[in-house]
Formats: sequence, structure tokens, C-alpha cells
Amino acid sequence: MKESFFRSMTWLHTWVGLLLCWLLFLIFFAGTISFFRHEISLWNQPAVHSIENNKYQQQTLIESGLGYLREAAPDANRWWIGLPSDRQPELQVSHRHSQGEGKRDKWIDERLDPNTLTQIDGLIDTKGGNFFYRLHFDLHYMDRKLARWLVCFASLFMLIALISGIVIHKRIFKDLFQFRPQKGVRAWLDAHNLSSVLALPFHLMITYTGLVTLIFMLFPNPAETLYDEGLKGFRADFYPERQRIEASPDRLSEPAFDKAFAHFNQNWPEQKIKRVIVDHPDNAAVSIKIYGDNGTLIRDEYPFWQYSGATGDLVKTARIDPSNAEMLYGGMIAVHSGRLAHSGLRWLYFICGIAGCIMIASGCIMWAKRIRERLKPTQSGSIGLKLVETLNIATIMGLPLATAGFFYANRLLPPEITARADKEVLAFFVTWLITALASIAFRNTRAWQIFAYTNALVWILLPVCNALTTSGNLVTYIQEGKWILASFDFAFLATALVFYFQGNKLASKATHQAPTKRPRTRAATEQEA
Amino acid sequence: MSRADNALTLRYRLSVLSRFCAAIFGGYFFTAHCVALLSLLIPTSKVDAVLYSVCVSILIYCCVFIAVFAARSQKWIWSVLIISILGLDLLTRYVQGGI
Repeated sequence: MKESFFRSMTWLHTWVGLLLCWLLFLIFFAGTISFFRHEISLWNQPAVHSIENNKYQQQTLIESGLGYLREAAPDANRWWIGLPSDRQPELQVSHRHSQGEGKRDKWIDERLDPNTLTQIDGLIDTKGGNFFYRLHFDLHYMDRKLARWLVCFASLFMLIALISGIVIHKRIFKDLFQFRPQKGVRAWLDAHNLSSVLALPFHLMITYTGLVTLIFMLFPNPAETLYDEGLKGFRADFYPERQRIEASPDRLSEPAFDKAFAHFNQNWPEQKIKRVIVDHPDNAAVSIKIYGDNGTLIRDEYPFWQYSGATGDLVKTARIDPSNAEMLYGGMIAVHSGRLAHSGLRWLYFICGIAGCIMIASGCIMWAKRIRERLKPTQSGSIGLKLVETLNIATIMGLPLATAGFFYANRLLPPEITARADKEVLAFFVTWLITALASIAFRNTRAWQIFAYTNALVWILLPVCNALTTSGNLVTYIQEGKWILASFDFAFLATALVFYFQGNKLASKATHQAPTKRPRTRAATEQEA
Repeated sequence: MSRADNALTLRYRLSVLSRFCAAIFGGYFFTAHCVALLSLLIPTSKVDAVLYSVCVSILIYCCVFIAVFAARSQKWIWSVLIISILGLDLLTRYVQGGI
């Protein structure tokens, strides 16, 4: 029985792993990049690079934000003020306008320099890091709901593959210290084991909590059982801050902002504020919503205070003292999104994410290699094998290349073209498509090698492109202490270096070994930034 | 079960398909009914009961999934799944006071 359990788990691991590994690679890849979502948004917006760290107190910033919005958008139905942070230097002021019956409200986003409190010039239209964040669970060019179900399904398979992987991994510690780089498939197995086992707690955590982020779509049943109105009723109970506030027909010209903030600052003087939202700023229903900053706490939702703008009184609060269940659920989402992480922990998240990509990549490559080795030299392989080999090279080599394409498009597209943000995204997918088409024709070691060198070339030229198209470069970043921007250049160079060495390795393999053995690659394990 | 000794017969392929269906759909409905019942039994506020039960749902789903592939007999898997889903549904209705 024991042997049979072991065998059934081996079988399960292989097939569950193979079926969705390319989708999983995309999810892991985009998710890993998303840990630097705000940093990428910063990099993608060169006009924001020159902003110094903000010197004003948060109350001053909020008041200037409100003052700006009063001038710029007196008739909006919502004002939104996002305060600057270490990761986002600018003061964000957005306003939302009604578009008449049946149409969706329209948001207008503006950004202010927090030191001069004036509008930032030369902003370009870009999705920045949000593109990768959305790609991570909404995919793209696809119905959102369908995409999320697919992502859930893939994550479930990932979790099953992880658990069955642990079961079949009898000698977990012995394998941990074993790496046999010159031994063909064995090397791949070792790379697979090493990347899985070293970051195993991370893989389990990130997959489980990832499913928890979409849990109400996956399992609405408890909410439907307990609430008459189902999920809607649960949401009303769980998110009091999201309840809609109806406008009032009575005008109100002088909302009691001062009284509300005076009360807040007196009672919660130490509280750092993340954002302030004002609903219906021009009529008697005006409400001021203050969202606190969680900082490094393991919490997802922000503590919340709502004041009436008409009287300046505190109307309600939420999440100031969360229950154990809220801490459990919010904590799971918080450790998944990594918003709590300071820069050191963020890099650890990133490295573990890359280990996940290596785990998935080495798994798919190993599968193809094993089948290929069983074939006689003259046999050409089944359609299934060819498909797996094509998908391997298209995903593992194509995604880093497409990411570089996205960054180049950001720097090279002229700022004035229409729908510029979408064209950046288009650049990502077109690059990926070209790689995929090329990989249908070329799938051998030589192709892996050429793709590795191409990757090395485009990634090493990226800092050069950045230096030529913006006012900053690696040297000025270091001189001015702009470590986030400097890290981008370092990460680009490191990626290029890894691909270069990988290409060399592949070159030596292609020449040293007998062509009849059709050796496949040492490819694509350690890459991408 | 292992790939080395399988003959890719129709029968074998059907049995694999059946197991995947049992694991994916059977596991899903089992978990859904299980957490629905669980949310009724957890003695906390309604919000907390919902949050606790959704947080363990994935764990339950995984255990069922693995169990389906570890079990020997297909008939056994399907009968246990169907009976337990019906049982959970009845229990949930009983706790809700519908019966």
C-alpha cells in the first residue's frame, strides 16, 4: 500500500505539474515582478524621478491636496488623495465625475510634487507595475472572471504538485545538498529539487495565500449559508468602509474639514495616513474617509475613520481593533501581497519568487528531456513532445524577452501618441508572440542558446537606453542616492549576465557532446528581473 | 498507475479522466458543502465564522484531491464522495433548521 501511494503521488506530481506549468510560470513570473510594482511604476514615469523626498507633514499635504481639488474639481463626486511613501514619492490627487444615467463614472488622476505642491510636468501615459500586477491574476485580453477561475485552477494544481512533490521526495535533506551539474537529466532534477526545497515554505505559503485572495469567488458558500443576501450581505458586514453614500440635494459650500481633522489628530496623533477620500464634496452628504497606513504590520485592510463633512463628527470606524478571524484572513493576504515588506524582505520575496520560476521551468524542461532521451536518435518525437518543447522555450525564454520589450517601449514610444499605455502592453505581447512563433521552428539547444544571447543583449542595453532617453543614469543615481532607480540598472545588468553565462554554457554543450544524443539545455533556470 | 508500465488503453485513459473529475469536481463540491456546514458550527460572529471557514477550505480541497488519487478503487471514491456530499447537505439543512 505504501509503495502504491508513493507511485500514485509520483504520477500525480508529473501530470498535474506538466498540464498547467506554462500558465503557472506566467503567474509566478508576473507575481514575482509585481513585488516591485510601485518601483516599476516609478521607473516607468521618468518625470517623477527628480522628486526629492517629501519634507512636509502629512496634515499639510492633505490640506494642500484638498485645496488643489477644491480648485480643480469642485463638482466631482469623489476626491481621492494618496499620500507619498518611500516607494511612491508623488502626492496623488484624483477626482471622479458622474457621466449621467447608466454610464460609468470617470476618474481623472493627477499627481503633485509634494515639495512644491504643483502639478508634475511631462507625465506619460503608462500602466507601470500595475500591468504585471494585473497580468498575475487577470491575465490579459481575456474575460476577467474566466481568467481568475483559470488562475485559481492552476494554483490548486500547483498546491497539489507541491504536496505530492513532498511525498515523493523521500530524501529531502540528502537531495538538498546534492547538485550534479554535469549529469544531464540528473542535473535538471537536482536544480528542480534545490529550487523547490530551499524555498518550499515560500512556495506553500504563496500558493495557499494566493488562493485565499480569490477565495470568495472560489467558495462563496459560507457567506451564502450565513447571510440572506449571500456575498453582498457579508461584504456589507465585513467592509463597512465600502458602503455607498448617497448624494444629498442640498448644497454645502464650507465642509467642516478642519474640525474633522482636528478631532482625528487629537485622538490618533501617531497614526500615519495612507489616503483620504472625500465623497460628495459639494453637497450636504459630504463624508471624509481616512485610511491609516499599516506599515509593516501583517494586515491587509487599512484601519478606517469616517467623518461627516457637514458637522465634522466621527461617524464610524473600522478595523482599528480587528478580531482573530480578521487577523488570520487579512494576515494571509498581507503575506501574499508583501505590502508589509521593507526593502530587504522585498528582495527575499523576489528571490524566492525566482526560485519558484526555476522550480517550474526546470520541471517542464526535465519532462521533455526524459522523453527525448528515451527516443532513439532517429526518432523525431511525438506531437506532444514537440508541443511541450515549443511551449517550454516560448514561455521560459519568451517572458523575460517580452518584459524587456515592455521596458523598451516605455522609454522609446513618443509621449504624445494616443493610448500609449496600451501600446506598451502591446509591445510586451508582440515580443512574446514573435518568440513563440520562432520557437515553433527552432527548439534545439542552438535555439535556446540564441535566445539566451538575445536576452543578454537586450537586457544589457536597457540601462544604456535608459541613460540616453532620460536625464539620469547609473552614475547619477548612485551619486544622488537614488537607490531604487540604481537597483533597476543593477538588476538589468545581472539579468544580462546570467543569460550570457547560460548562453556560453549552452554553446559548450552543443559542441562537446555527440549530436546524436540531442542534449537539451541547461537553460533558463536563473533569470529575469 | 505509474507511467512506466501503463499501456495507454482506452480503459486506462478513462480511469484517469474519472479520477481527475472526482478530484476536481467531487473535491470542489465536497469542500463547498463542508465549509458551508463549518461556518454554521463555528461559535463566533457571522463575519468571523465566514472568514475562518474560507481560510481552511483550500486545505480541505487539497486533502480530498490527494485522497482521490491515493485511493485504490474508483467505485469507492465516487460512492464516498457522493454519500458524504449528500450527508453534509442534509446536516447543513438540519442545522439551519430546514428539516
